[in-house]
Amino acid sequence: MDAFYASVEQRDDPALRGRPVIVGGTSMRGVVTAASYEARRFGVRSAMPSVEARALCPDAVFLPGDMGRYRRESRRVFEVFGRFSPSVEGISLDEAFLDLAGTDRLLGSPGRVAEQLRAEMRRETGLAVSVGIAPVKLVAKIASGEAKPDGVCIVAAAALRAFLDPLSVGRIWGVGPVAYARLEARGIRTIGELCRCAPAELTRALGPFGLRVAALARGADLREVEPYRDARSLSEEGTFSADTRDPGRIEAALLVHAEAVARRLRRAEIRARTITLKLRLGARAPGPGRVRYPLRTRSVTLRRATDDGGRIATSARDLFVRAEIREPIRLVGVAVSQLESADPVQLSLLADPRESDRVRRLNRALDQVRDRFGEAAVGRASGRADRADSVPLSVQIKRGEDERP
Amino acid sequence: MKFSVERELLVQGLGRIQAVVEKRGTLPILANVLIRARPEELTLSATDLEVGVVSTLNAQIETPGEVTLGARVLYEIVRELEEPELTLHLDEGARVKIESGSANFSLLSISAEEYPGLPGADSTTFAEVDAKLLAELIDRTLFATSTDDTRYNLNGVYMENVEKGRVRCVATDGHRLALIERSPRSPVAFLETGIIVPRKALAEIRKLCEETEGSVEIGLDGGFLMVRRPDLLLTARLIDGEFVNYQQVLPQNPTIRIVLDRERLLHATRRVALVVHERSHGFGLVLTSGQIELRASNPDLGDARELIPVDYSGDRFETSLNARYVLDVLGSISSKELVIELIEEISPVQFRPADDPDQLSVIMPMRT
Repeated sequence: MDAFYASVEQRDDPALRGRPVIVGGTSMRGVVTAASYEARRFGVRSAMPSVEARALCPDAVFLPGDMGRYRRESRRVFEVFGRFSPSVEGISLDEAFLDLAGTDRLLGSPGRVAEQLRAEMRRETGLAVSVGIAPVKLVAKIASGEAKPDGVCIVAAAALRAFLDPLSVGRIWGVGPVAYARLEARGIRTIGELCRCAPAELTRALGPFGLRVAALARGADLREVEPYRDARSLSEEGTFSADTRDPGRIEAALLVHAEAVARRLRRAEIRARTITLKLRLGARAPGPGRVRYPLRTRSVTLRRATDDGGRIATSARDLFVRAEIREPIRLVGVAVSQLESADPVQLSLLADPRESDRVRRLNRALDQVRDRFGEAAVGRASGRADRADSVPLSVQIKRGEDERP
Repeated sequence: MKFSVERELLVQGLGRIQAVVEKRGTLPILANVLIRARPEELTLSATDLEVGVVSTLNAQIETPGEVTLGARVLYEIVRELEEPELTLHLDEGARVKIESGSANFSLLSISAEEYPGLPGADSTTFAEVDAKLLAELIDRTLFATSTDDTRYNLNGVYMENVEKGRVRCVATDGHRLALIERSPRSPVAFLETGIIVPRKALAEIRKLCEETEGSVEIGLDGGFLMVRRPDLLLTARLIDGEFVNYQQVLPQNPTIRIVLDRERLLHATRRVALVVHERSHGFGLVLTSGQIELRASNPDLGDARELIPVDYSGDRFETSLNARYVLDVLGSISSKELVIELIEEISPVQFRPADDPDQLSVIMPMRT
């Protein structure tokens, strides 16, 4: 979809149409979540600090966003996707791969499918969707980017090379700013140049990853459309309003994130074994790449999978204490992975079964209160509750996670 | 150092220590066997600092002395030799010459002084225990010990004296527990205070008991359990920790008691266990009037159920257990009839042989 959140806002409020609209954090340290095409013309991009966006485009309308509404909208979008292929792999709330193999007799040529999908999407959701059609996933993804805004781009197998060769190597999955800089240093800027490069040269530049990049550059992307890929991780994170060293504030934030992650685990009826603490330091690091704030992560794997926020918070806090980080911290997050379905739980002979039952009942009660009265209605006392209120939350939507449409 | 020894005896002695020899290589010398030629006997020692074995054998000692050699390579060489006798000779350098018929080896050695000291048994008082009885105590409990290193106090079997000179062994991993009591012919005085014997040592003791007719001697010295036979001394560092308060875990006043044919339940459990969920291993036990039903289901495989008639006329009772735990328990019991005692759905399930009041196992259910 094109600038999904911003498009939803513009659709629902005619006054916003034709104007630059930015959805994202409005505080000093907020970031842009989505920018309408009008705003993009000024150079506004998603993930850009809001302050920077405002400087580029002072007339933009800033909106805080409404995830609930976007999710509902996303379900409608996926409902439309589902009509055109039995195999739909959602990548985010508004993006998906559709496997069209074998659908031509039923639905017509891919070109027809694309037009029909766009027409139905516009009619039913009022939103514009761009479609990229290609023999493999990577190229389809790139083609959909070329099709934006509101267009179709079809890359037939015979035209693959002509399409890919002039494009920047940065368009290949996994080639970020660092890899890009290394390739550029060897005079490799386009996908065509990459294809002509000797494998040994690429291995020298990028290590074993170089060979994978070369394969992708040749259009050899063997990944299938995976309609039912399960979540691999869930995470919650937030940026502090000012960098902090205060363990109290940091631990309070971890507790809030841990609770939020746990709640999503319970909602999806899964449990997690690995807990990862994510910290972004306030001091910018030199070097290429957009990531200017150094990232520190620490993980621990539990003996038994959990969906208890208290347990996750304890692990995250332990990780934080052991990380012994002295620099000011900009962002903290809690991620869980190694997800398991909530199988029967082996009870402990040595602990009072009523105790683990108590935790479970407490969590269930917390969930019910939040379902009815909202997420802020009830929380765990951290002992430093006064500081917890200053924790802004941002929700990370990972592929295939619980709230996928 | 120089001696001659029967090949067969040396193979046996070296074979016995192989399991103890340290393989992870944290301390390279622990991969060696300490060879001591004393005027009257030859000893082979190995230790991983937790378990130590000293094996004594007959040899013609020409010159006493001591040395250490790679335990694995020496064992393999001696096994391959063909002559019935061989000679070991430590020459002026650090090399040990092995001669047997036309075969000659010259092996690099490490000085015996580098080898860590093993606890000796000289000042220990020993008690005699029937090897079969000791083996039984281990067999009926070892399976329930914990393999989780973070719960080191559960990584072994707890042994203590209870009234009338009886020895009680208990093991638990926090999910299930096994307990057995037996009366040795003479009391084992040092068990007045409970000890925790680690898993690896128990496995070695078990092997030793298996190849012993009659009895072995056991003793305690400075945090080490010693098990002795005329030709062998096994020393095991005890786990230094508090065992859990297992007494409070034992179910009191069960409300339901059913009697089952053990073999029948074992085979039925094995069958339904084929389709339990790979991770949880959980299966359901549903008790209704006149029957017990075993049921398992796995989203990727399908379902299984099996009925066993039992003498029961109470209310429906349902619980869920880990099939592996149940199979372990059924395998550790040898009676024909088995008693299962239940209280509530989330309270421990007790298994005991119908003919032996001194053995029991407890499994904590799963919550579905």
